Amino acid sequence: MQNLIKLNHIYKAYTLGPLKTPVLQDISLTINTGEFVVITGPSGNGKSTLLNLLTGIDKPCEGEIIVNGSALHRLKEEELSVWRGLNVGIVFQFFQLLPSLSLLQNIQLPMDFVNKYPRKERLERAHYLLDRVGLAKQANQLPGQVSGGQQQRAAIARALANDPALLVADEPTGNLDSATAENIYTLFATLQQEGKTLVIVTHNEELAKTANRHITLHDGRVSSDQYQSPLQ
Amino acid sequence: MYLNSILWKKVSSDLLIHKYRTVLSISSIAIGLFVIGTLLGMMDLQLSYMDKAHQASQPSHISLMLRRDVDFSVAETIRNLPEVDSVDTMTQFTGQFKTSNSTPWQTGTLLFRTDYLNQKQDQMHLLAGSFPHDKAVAIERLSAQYAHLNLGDTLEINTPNGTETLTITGIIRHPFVKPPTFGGQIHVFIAPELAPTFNIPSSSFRQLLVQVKPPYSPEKAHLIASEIRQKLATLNIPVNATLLQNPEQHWGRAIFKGIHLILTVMAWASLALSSVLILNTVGALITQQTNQIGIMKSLGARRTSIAKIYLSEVFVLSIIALLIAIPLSWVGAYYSSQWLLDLFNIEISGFVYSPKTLYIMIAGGLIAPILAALQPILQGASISVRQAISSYGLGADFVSNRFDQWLELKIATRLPTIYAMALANLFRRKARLIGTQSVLIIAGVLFMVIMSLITSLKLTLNNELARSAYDIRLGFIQDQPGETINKLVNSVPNTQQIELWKRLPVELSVNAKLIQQVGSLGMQMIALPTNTLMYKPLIVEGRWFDSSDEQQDHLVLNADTAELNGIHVGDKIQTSLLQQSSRAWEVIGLYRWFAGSGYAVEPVYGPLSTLQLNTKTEFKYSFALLTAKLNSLTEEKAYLEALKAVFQEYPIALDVYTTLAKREQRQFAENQFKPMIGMLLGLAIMIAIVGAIGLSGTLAISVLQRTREIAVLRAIGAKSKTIFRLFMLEGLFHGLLAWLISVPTAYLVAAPLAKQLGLTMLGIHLDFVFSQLSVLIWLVVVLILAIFATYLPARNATKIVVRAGLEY
Repeated sequence: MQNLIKLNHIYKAYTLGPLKTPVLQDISLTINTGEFVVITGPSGNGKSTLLNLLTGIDKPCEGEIIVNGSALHRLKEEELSVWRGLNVGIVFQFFQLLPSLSLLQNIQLPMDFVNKYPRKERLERAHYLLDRVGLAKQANQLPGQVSGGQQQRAAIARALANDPALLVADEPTGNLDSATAENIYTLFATLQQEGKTLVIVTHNEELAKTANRHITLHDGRVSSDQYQSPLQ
Repeated sequence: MYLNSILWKKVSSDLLIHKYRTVLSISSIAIGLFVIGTLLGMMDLQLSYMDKAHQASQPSHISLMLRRDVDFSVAETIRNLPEVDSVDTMTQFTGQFKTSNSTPWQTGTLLFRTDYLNQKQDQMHLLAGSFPHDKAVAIERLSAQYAHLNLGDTLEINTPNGTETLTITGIIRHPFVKPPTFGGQIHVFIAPELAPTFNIPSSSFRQLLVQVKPPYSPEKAHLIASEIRQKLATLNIPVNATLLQNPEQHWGRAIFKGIHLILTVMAWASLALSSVLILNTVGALITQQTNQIGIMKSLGARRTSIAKIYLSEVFVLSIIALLIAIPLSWVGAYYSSQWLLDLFNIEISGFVYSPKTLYIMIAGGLIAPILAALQPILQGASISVRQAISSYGLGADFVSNRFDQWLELKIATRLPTIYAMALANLFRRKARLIGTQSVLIIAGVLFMVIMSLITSLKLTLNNELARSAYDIRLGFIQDQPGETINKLVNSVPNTQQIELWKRLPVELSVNAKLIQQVGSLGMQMIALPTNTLMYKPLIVEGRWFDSSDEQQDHLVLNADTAELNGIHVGDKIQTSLLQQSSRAWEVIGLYRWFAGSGYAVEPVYGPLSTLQLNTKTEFKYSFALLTAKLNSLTEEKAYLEALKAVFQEYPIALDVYTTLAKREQRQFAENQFKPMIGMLLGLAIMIAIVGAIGLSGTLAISVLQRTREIAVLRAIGAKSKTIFRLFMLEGLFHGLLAWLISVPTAYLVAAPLAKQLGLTMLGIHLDFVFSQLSVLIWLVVVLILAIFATYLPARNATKIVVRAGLEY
């Protein structure tokens, strides 16, 4: 299998006044294409920071991050925006759908940013993705008009808009009830079966069991990294 | 407002951290205050200086312009009338002169008073040098400025006995001169001993000034003026015009009454509009700091403590805005009033400001923003801790209603996503949208109304001039035989047609009571041929003359005067003409009078043949109306100068006030309207700037409030230029929406508003036409304003870093 993500000796600290607080220390990891990785650990132990580094939202103080062949630690903010649009789909805890756009338009938006698909295909693809997440009927509704679970499914559809190699999610079920959350696990599992690489930060033990690799962070270091048989 | 030092620290840091928002808030209050301070200050300074200058000149209550030179003994006779307190005299006549700067002869007014050192009424003050004596003359202040004449310069003056070279030794202020740019003449003061050189006896006068015995009242002055005219009529002295004036208030007050009312309303409106922006800014600040409010409340802060913090912020903003606006408005008021007073020949010595306006500014500047901010502050302060500290991602601040759903389904789905998002964002915060839009819409409507006013004014002038077929009107100081006029006029090349008219002072009465008139310089009958080709006024009721009116006692009256006195077509009114007993004349038509401000002699038209029938002596004419082969203003000027030269040579004295050239007159009329229109346009621009600041503020706030949203956009691949485009589009949509609303609004209100403005400010009934050009100009202006207003917020939006934005 091909390496999709490679982290070499990552060190990340935040400076607050005179204090420098390390968040991630000497993290080295390799994630292959098609893996479904969950990252767990107590709050404040660097999970979200690690996710931010993988998506180019944040930069390491030391070390290298190579994702899908790009050295993210060397890219500028503007280059990172373009890179993200093409290579990574992000699913946020609070869905973060644009409230004034319909679900359909929310999905078209990344395609319009990146121009990977011809203009004529974008609408059709947005409909296809919404259909995939079971929201075909809600296409023209505003986010505020649908449930939290539906919003999160739309957010996943948006993350898939440009068919990225990597899908990352930060607490994607943190705001959902258990039945809705289960739907989301199933969706992630299906995406993995289709060859997508998923990296998900979660506190949800059930979700963690659906992945084939489980990384635990403690005090900013990898305390365990285990492959597991995912629950179907 | 007591706040402890920590809370003051919060107030100051809130203001300092968001410098851009602070600057926008201060600018919007400061502009509103500046407009108020400048306009109210200008009006106060203008009126008080006008009145002071007027009172200082010891104004006559009644001023009678006589048609010929009259001996001083007549003045003595008038002084002996029971209610007359004192009389004074002067003589003004037309002359030709050359300055060292100009080669052709120019026409001007020559003036002398019997004793310059002992002027009783309408005093002319010496500003520099000495009063005229021997061959030393003085020049009027405005004339000196206009013709670039100084003490020591010489003037060549044409006299019936040859050319006289005179030296300017004094500069004098004349209280009643029209500025030369408005068609006023150059005024030269000569010594009385020089009068015989112009065949005028030095012991005579042409203008009689009268003060009535105290107490003064306009009714009393009106009555005595009528008595004096009758007395003069018995002495065979015709009066050209009678001017009545209030000794306390400057005659120019009437001209500014309307415009001052409108400017006052607009000044307060601009403060109200800038307060709308404060409402927007404070509303946004509260929304942005909702979380902080929740935390403060959870720490024990009460509603009043929270409200105090934000009211203190508004208070600080208001104080800073006042400190900026006060000195600027002092300068604005000083220079604008100086400019306006200069038109009335009044000088302000040294820098002055209006204390009354300062108090108004302080009160308005502190009260209006606090009032505007009160509602969002109280609402924010009342929010519960749970509401305040909860956060649910991007949609938390967006409650979609039916309109948003309609917009999304019907419009946005047809647009590319960036356009759809910019459009939806435009309507996202409706209260703020209304605030921002209202300022831009009002500015747009005002702009289009003013442009329509200008276009309508031009149309009205064109229509009025189209009703006049003549190119030149010659007015004579004394009526002249038709044969002589014809001979002289036809000796000037290019003359085509000539028509002769006569004027006579007239008094109209209904039920033995003199009628009230619109024209403040009295009434006169203009007798013209019933088949006149030279002029036909705009008839609003009844008809104009035709052959059936020959030798009939028929008249055509000013429609406003008719309305004022309840006179209708078909009514008979007692008409008293010079040396004739009063007779009942029938009103056959009412005409629309075109006279800016009403500061003019009001015409009553009658058939020339009726007057000729009743005249026992040789019939003479007061006006010659001429058409000529003329293609430009230059040709017109040359032709008029040639006519003036021929009449001067003969010699027949032309009346400077009634001799006019049509094209030149149009230019003067436009010049007269320019200051007021300029002021209105300036106001519209100010309001537009307030609108642009508001728009900039709204978008800056949007960027702040949508920081997380921008971060999400960047996280899903949006480039800087996409974010920049998104906000620029939103700004342009704002401009476009304001334009779309202001065009039909302006179209609806322009006609009544422009007509009312024309009537109130300029004293004329406008022929209305909507300025279509203004629609296009405003589109360009509002889009340019939107681009300027949006640029900075849009650029700031591109600087938002994803991680920081997501944590916002």
